[in-house]
Amino acid sequence: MSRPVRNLSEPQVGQPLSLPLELDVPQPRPAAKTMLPAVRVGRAEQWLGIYLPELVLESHIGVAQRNADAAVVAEQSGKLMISAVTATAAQQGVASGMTLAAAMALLPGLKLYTFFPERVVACHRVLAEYAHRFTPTVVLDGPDILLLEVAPSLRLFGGLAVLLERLMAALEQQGHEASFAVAPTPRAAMWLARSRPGVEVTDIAGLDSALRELPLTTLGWPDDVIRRFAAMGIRELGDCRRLPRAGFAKRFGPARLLELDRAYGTARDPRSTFRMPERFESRLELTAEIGDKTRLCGAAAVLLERLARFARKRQRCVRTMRFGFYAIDAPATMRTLRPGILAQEIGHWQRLLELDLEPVEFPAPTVLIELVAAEFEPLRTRSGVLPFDGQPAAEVQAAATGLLLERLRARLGRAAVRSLRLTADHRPERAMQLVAPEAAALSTAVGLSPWRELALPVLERLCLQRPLWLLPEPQPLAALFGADTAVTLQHGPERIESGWWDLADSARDYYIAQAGDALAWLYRERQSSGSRWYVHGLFG
Amino acid sequence: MSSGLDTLLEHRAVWRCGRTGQQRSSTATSATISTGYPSLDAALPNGGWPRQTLIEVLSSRAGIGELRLLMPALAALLAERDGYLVWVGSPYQPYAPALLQWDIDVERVLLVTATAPADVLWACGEALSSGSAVAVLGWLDALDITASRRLKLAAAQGQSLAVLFRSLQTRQQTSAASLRLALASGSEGTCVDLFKVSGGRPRRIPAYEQAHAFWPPLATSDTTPNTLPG
Repeated sequence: MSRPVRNLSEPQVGQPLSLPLELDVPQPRPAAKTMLPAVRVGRAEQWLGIYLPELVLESHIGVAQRNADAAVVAEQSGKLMISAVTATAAQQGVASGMTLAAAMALLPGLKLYTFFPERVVACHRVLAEYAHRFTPTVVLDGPDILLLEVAPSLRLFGGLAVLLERLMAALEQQGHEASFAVAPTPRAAMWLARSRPGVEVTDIAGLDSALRELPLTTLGWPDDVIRRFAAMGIRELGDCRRLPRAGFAKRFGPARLLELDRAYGTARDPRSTFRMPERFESRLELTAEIGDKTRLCGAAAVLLERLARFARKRQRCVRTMRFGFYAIDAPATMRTLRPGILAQEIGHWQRLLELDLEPVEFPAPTVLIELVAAEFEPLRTRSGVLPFDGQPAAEVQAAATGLLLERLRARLGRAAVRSLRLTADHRPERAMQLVAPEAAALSTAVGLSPWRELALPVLERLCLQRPLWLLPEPQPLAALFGADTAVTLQHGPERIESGWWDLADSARDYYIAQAGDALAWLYRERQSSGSRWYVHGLFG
Repeated sequence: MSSGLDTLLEHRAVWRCGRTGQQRSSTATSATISTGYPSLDAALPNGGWPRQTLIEVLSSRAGIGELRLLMPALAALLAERDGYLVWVGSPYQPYAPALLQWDIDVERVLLVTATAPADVLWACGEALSSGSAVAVLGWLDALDITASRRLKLAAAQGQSLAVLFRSLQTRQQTSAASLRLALASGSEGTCVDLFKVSGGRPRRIPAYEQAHAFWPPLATSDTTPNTLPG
């Protein structure tokens, strides 16, 4: 039973500390079971740990300013402390952890930046997003560690060396200082990246020797724990590992024991992976105030490009996007765009934005543009078609139609673009509805077939005509044509009545009449004795 | 020798004055679409409305027969290919059952509400050049020569037909439209005055249709007077 444990720490077999393992355990059998290396199911994992020691500096100070004497200042327990310094400032003695006063005494010309924790987090996330290019399993650990499970990606990228080269080159290009290590467990990869950069442990058997000489100070454990270990004469991870488990758990807590087990791969280490944000949010600070709409659209194109990249990475298409144009001392202008599913091109978005901004009056020049997109849909891709026969293919036609509808809506409003739908009703004003064009094609069959099969033959047999123009509301004859227009009835009456089921009962006699130049569709209420004439339509 | 001259004269690029619909050649027919009214076809060059260009219909008011004039041709155009029949800035709503009676696919009618002349012009241009409109009907009085030329180009580009409905007052304005006609109601029906016909001669047609010929006589009851007091 003890054999696996001994195998695991073989180089130290002869040392006395490995022996009391079983003696300290009150119930040897179950406890001994837990010491067996956990059976690893499935493939072997390979974790790439990336340590970003200067992330605070990099997220606050731009690449260009890092050559100067500069530092990031944070408030810690009421005191202003230096939390990151540039290399040139560090050469002159300024170090993180100093008070601001001490740093300023050393370097009076030190340029200071205020520490914002959210900047570090945002920068960390951007890097995690970039790391998604190499593997779907990216874990953010602590404020400065990225963990990538790269085993499934190695074949794709042509081996670990190639992948590492590309990743590190990209980080360097972005101005990030980074060190890496490879290990079969995420925790070991993290520890090694911090203290022994460049180490590559590919199998679990080599882990023990790699971790053995790791100083405890690099594990990120609290200082008092480190001090208590030091008091016991333990400074390295290997020594720590040989301590009796039960006693270790009792003194330093079971959590820390579990941490060790996880690092060595004897316990599972489930991690929640970094998920790409589902909401796009980006801002663009303009170098100068812009009041001109054309230039504003040009500047917004940068944001649209970012959004397109965001959507493309996720294989999504954008349902809605909201632009915010912020100005100094004036309310922000918010505009919402709804590009169609078929049109996911920057050029089209730009045209939509131009159309959308056309009627807008900006109260003041814009200094900051913000673009937020939270509604996405899975991307539906289309194959390109070459119109060999001169006729545009159906898909191309459909796309063009979608674009047309969107452009019209963007400028005139959504309610301005409508299509007609027939409904199965004999009353003139209820025989038709205005609907969205997309809905018309789908539901027209409901009203169309009763009309085509039942109503039209009857109308034709009786030589009844319907007018091409229908007035939204029937209007008194005199109001529409003027009192002195000669009106001659030419055909009728056509009696249209009943409708008691929806409380819009009517009984009307319709006539076709020549009213001045126009041919009109008149009616008279049957029930009312006043015999007032109304115009309901015009034969256009 | 004479045959050589005949071939030259038959060439499509050669336009011969006075040669109208009666003597059209088969190649040129595709450039027009029949109006559906024989008297009108006969008066127009190549026997029908020109395609992929701009037509202006001038009338004193809506309801004079301006739509009936175009309905047979529009139905034929819609039957030819996919696409919308776009109405921009129409004075009233087109009535779906009536469109059905004229064999127009109701679900392919697209109504665009626009009141400002600039919006109407813009929407017409967009619809024409998009290639997804079979024909665009627009109601627009304010139109200068540049705008009309632009619409004509957009119609050619989108292989669409542009029809603008305008008031009679715009008759004196210059326009790039291929065909301009004015409607007036006459004693026998609506009278069509073709006052600008590119590739043809201006003509006046007394009545393009006998509107009431196919209606049965008025079934007047004793209580209904034939002529209303207004």
